[in-house]
Amino acid sequence: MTRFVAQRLAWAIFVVWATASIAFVTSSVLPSDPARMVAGPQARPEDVARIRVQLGLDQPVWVRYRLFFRRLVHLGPAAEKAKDHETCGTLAWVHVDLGKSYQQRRGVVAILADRLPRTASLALAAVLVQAAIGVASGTFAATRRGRPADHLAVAASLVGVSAPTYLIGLLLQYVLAHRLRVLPLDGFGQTPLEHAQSLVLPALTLGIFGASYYTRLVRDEMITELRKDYVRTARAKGVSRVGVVVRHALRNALVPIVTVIGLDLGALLGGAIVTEQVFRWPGLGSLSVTAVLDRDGPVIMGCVIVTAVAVVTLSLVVDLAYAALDPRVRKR
Amino acid sequence: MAVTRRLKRSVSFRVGLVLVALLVAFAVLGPVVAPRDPFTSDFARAVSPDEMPVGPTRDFWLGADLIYRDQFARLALGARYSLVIGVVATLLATSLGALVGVVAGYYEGARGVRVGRATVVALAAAFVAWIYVGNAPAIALAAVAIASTLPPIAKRAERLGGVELDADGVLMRAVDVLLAFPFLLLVMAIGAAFERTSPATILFVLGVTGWLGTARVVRAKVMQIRHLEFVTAARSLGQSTPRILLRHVLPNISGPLVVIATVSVAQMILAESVLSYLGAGMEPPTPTWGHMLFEGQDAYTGAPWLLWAPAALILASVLGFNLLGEGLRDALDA
Amino acid sequence: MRWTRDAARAVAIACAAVGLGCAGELEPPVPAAHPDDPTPRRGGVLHLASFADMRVIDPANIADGLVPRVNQAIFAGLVDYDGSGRVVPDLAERWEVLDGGRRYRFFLRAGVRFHDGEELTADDVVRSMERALHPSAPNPYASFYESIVGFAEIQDKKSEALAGVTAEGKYVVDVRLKDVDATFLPALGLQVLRPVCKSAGRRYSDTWQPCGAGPFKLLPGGWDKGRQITLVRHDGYFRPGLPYLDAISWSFLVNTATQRFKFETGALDLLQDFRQAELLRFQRDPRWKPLGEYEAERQVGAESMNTELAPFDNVEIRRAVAAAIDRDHIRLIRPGNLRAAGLPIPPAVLGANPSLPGQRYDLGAALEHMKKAGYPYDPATGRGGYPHPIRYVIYRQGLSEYTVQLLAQDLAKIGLRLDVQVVNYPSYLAITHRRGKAQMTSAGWQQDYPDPSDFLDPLFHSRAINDEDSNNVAFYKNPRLDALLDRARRELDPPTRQRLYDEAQGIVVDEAPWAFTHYYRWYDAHQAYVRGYKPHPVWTHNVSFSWLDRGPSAQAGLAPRGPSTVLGLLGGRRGAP
Repeated sequence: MTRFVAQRLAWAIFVVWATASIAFVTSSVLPSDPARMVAGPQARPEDVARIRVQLGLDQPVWVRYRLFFRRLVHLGPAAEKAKDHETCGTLAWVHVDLGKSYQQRRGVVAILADRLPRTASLALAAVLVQAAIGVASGTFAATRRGRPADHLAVAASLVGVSAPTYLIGLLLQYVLAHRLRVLPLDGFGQTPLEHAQSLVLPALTLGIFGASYYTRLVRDEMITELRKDYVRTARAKGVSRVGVVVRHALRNALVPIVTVIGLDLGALLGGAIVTEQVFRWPGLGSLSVTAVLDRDGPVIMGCVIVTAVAVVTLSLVVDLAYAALDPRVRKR
Repeated sequence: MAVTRRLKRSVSFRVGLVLVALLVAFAVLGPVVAPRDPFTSDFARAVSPDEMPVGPTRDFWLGADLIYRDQFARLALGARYSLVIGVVATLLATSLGALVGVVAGYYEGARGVRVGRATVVALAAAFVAWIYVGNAPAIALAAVAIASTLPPIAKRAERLGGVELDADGVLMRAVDVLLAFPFLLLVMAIGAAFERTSPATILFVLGVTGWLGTARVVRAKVMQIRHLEFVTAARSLGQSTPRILLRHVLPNISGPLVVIATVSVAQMILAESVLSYLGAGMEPPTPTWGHMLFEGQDAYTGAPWLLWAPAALILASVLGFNLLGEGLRDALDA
Repeated sequence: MRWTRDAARAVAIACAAVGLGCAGELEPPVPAAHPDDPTPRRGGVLHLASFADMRVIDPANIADGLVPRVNQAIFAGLVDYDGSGRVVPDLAERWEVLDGGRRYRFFLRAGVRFHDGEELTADDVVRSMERALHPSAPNPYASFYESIVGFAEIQDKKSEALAGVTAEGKYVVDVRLKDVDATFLPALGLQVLRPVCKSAGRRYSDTWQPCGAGPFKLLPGGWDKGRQITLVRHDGYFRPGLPYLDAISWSFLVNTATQRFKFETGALDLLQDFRQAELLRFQRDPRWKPLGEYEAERQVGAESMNTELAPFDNVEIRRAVAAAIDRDHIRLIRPGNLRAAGLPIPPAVLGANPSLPGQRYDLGAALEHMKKAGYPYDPATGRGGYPHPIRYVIYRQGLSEYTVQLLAQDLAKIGLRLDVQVVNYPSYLAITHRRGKAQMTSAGWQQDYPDPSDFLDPLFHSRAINDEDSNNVAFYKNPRLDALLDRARRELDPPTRQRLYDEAQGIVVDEAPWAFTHYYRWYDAHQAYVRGYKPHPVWTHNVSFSWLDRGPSAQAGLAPRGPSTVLGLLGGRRGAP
């Protein structure tokens, strides 16, 4: 088991490194000039050239690549905010430094620290919404298989899967915020209460989109489970219908669902780009879009690394959970 | 035949078929029956007294767009582009996914090239040394890495274990990296490499990003089939691997593949509209539904028909293909 | 089959909800409490909002479009612009022009206080200029001041001091120029060189807390980045009795629709970020119409033709394009913001001359020019014209994505075909500023400082041609124009200067490196109780000296929506949006 874990961990590090390296090279060779993006479209060539030097963009790619990784993890004084370590995130003597955003002129670590909790709360809320709706309606549909309620649930989930998130988002935004004005249109708000209110629409959007998939998954799993012998036995022993469904069938059906939840969470932690754009939720997704559009290299790298780590970690966790449950997997 | 009978009975299949047939009819006939040209602005009739595009009227069946062209004609022409993009991108992505999945699945567990642990460690150390120390130690360590692959050393080192690079592992790790890679950056990089976003770029982007899921599913299926009797029999009869894959494996995964492809058309139509949303869609004045939806979004307070018409069409087409896929799945699996 | 019907109904309801559009009626404006009393009242907080965000507040690094609005309240300069864009004294009481225009001597007001209470002296002025022009500052506008003696030395790191700027006593500052430069004063009116507190030090830093001598100050914690900033009155401001407001507050990243709702109910006091349909609605409503006004046009939009590449190395083809564009149609893309244009310098820029004959739509003349160019085109048969497609580069999701589609229709009528290449914005900038890349692009220019040189020099002077970062995107070269522009730059007499620039504009209009299409103008709506506000030709939303006359009853807040709206929604109200 230890060996399996070590191997998977090594692969995880490799995947993150490979992703980061490809992203670094890609964003460096794009035919456009980050200095021009900082200076503005009307800036004169002299000013653009000076800013290019200030940002260190006059150096060749491999020098910058090396500098990036050297800075990424290094040792430094444990005390925070020592000179030359302004942009670092510190964990005692270990520093993590992604450099400074060209555009915002702040440390990327600090920017990510602002954004990550917002994206994480959105991801969690969305996963909760989709799991709750999905499990409830999936179970409901499975127990009423072939009846109108089942058809309705399946139809609704099909429509949900078919609608792009931004369509769902625009519709919700239009009805709940624009027409009824019960929720903020978009943004993040100023107070904790406003943050919570602003979270509702994006979380619902992602949730409804995901819930459709979950409904179908839960329904299929439940139907399989309900056909099994132990259900009949339990019923024969006099366990109530609801008891069988909830305590036995649902519990067994949940295993694959938890897996999917884990993978979804990993994907969402990288930021739901479109939903964050529609609702202008200031998370990682919208950050990465602006960073790419502004050619803000350090921020692009920060987003790429966070996304890759999230995806890889969650799939690692899922794999390990599987391995713990199913000894056959460990051999690989 | 059982499958046809089940298909005939399936409600989703029938509804999906009707929807898709209607859309195809719209794509084929729409541009022919449209009374106006999709590319010509009509400043005489399409401008309302408020200096806004006119809404749905007898002249303009679905209203005029932001530069005063007939939206019906544009949607009809857009149907051709959107459907063709959906289908061709699906063909690309599904065949790529099937290829990778079949190879990975068939060779799963097969022996590959064993890279000794010493080599891996030396390579990693060379990289770390280059980053933190400088070129000289990095070159030295890299030399050690190369040396440790030489047969006499490698043979002794093999007992220590190491990393096995087999077809399956390499392909699946590539899938991992691509899944972890930000979609947007990939789109931009491809766009930049082509210097423009033409239909070819869009197909390329959708094809390159769309095969990952297919590859995983196909791999799992192939792993099941591989050990079935007819495959082992074919192998023991000495048939070549490509022949086995083509003659025996592929036909047996064609069912799931057809289902995946059908649903994937829907995904591709969606993805194309997301691309437009992210600013990487088709070039004007070519109409696609996704791009029209994006433009309509900005105008929905003044000209809502610009939003809902493309939205309804996208929804209908995605729903149609999904239903079709649903029906196929039930008929082939059940 | 029941569920399909249900699903269909759900889809229908959903579509109807989106299709309803925005319900028409605007709320009535909140009235002023004393509309007939012209005496300014003190107190109150003025609320503004923007769709965009702002990243750094520092005169030495003005990187966002929003920053000048905030800077204008925090920092005062030696000189500023008046309501017509002319340079007037501000921190400097007066100035003298010496050595035939090679030296400017500024006399500061005595007793001006920074926000931290320290007195502003000549040394602060010198230090601030040096700080802004030192190469360690990421200043995108430093080169506007290249005529100052010592600029090249400090930029090349040969010197740490700016030799040409010296304190001649506590309240006198001398600025020496390498040569006579009529653009020095207009550029000095910008915020770049404005004095900053001693806390700013001698060199730029990203973590400085903004502090100046303007009418409003930023308290620690007053800026919640990405959300909101509040500036409070600087009681030590040098103009007695000013400002009237207690504070100004900007909210950032606020959706246009949210802004509109808030403005309608009085939670916002000025509004500029309109959606097109909303703007037209506000302009049509007789109650709101008197409260709105266009800002001066400061932005020109055009189609740039690369004069080094075929077919635009042929002046007749360029003239044909300039005559083929129907600018009234372009205007209809955004009728609330666009105005048909024919001249390089927008009419509101100081030194513009709207009476000059500009480029205009004349299809007959355009066909004539095509014939002269050697590519006659017959509209009836569609035969002739330029045989190759013309590569036209634009970026995604901008106005130009629409203008090019009209342009293509217009040019098709004279036998020119466009091959439109859409790239993202950074690539667009890189491609269009690079030599020999794009035959034709969408182009535009926005006033930096109010002077004709700000438009003509960077866009059409051959000195602005570069292989990589060329601001002259048409790569247009004309020795006669260069000579005119060089003379005008060194000419201090306004009427003579005006004549030179008129002549220069005539050349550009005729030789048509750009075909001008539109001026962009912003529409400002303000509340009736916002008094003393007037759109400024340089500064957007310059509310420093406005005042509020708001009754106690007019409280901010969003009107709650009752059940009738819900029923209206479900009932599917249709008809005109």
